[in-house]
Amino acid sequence: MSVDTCPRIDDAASYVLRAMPDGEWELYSAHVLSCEICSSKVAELGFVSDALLNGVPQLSAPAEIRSRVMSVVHAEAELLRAAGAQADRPVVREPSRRWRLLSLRPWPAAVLASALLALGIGGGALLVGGSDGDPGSRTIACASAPPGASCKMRVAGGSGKLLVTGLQAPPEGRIYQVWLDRDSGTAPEPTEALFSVRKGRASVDVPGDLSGVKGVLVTDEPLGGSEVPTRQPVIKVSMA
Amino acid sequence: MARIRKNADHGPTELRDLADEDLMQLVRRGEAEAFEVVYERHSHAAFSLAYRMCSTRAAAEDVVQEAFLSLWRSGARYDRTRGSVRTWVLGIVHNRAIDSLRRSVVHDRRRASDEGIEERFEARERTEVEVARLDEAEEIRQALRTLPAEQGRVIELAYFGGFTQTEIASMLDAPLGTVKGRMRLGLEKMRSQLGGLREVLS
Repeated sequence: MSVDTCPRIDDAASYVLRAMPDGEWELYSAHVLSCEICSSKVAELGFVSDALLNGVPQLSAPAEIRSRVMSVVHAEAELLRAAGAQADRPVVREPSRRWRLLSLRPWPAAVLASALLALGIGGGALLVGGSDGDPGSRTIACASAPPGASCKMRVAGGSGKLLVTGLQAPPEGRIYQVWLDRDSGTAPEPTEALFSVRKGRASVDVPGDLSGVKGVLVTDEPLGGSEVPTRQPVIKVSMA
Repeated sequence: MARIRKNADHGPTELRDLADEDLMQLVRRGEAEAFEVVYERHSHAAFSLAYRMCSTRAAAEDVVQEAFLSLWRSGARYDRTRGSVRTWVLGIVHNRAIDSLRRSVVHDRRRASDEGIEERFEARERTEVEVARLDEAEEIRQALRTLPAEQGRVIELAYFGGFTQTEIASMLDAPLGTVKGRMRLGLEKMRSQLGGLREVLS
């Protein structure tokens, strides 16, 4: 190779435009690190590809994206704050009007029946803790959790906090969501409690009034949450 | 307006006065309010780019949502020596959009016209900074339009269509080397035309 050219210099343009297939792109990335000619050309042309990012006609981003993004961000930030540096990224907000409306939607009978069968809700709650110093509080062990995970829920004054350890992170692109099962004949009610875990741990406030709630469920859902569960619950808490 | 909590370490006015790079320091610490200001500043450009590439609103929304959540969770990766936060954000959106396009098994990759896009969404009030950016964007589009057609075409197909160089060569029935050469020549011409924007965009 001469000192002022490189046989791969034409690849610099397709590299900055990301026109290379993925495997080839990584190979050229490695080459750029060791080739001053190509490195210089990539920097030169990269300015143009960066400029192109800013050159598209400008539109207004729909407000719904912001709601979905910020609901996850606030939830995760809150959990981080609550648990400090060791915390899992996290969850919980006040239920919005949208979510309250969603909770009123009818639940397809077949899906509901399937979910309830899978949950086996109806067994008695296992009281594992005392009052925590508050005569109105109790701690309930989860009726079901994945192997290796354990969880419990503290209930006080009609509100609850779910405490989970040993839980695997949700699949890529998904997030855990908390549901309230108020009655076996109606659909589980979606909540805005969305959470992920770090080091297997999470501490999640369960939104809403737990009066009349027979079960609290957790499923993994697409980021931003769902109107109805799309997966079988990974955690269930029986309040009966 | 940003939803800033009363007990936040930084007030909304203070946050809005911060430069993007300083906001990213706070995002790195997990401050959602700082992230929200970053979102406010760049979400419209991000959506515009995603829509330009994906052609459908639903796909563009997914790309923007994924990109900003990725940004929130990987804020520590931002390196101010490599460029502006805006370019970093748009780079993430661009990569996500390309991934989305290439994942699509059945995908209509025909691009909607710019005019059609503009008509589908309401205009909004713009700040002086945004107006200046619109002027810059027009300058960039103008530089692209003035390229020889075959050079502009390959750049459009690659950068906004998500096509690989091999796919483009096949579509245009041209040798791969020719496609690469057109890309390089086109970018070099644009660079000479846009030299004045370097400071603005960096």
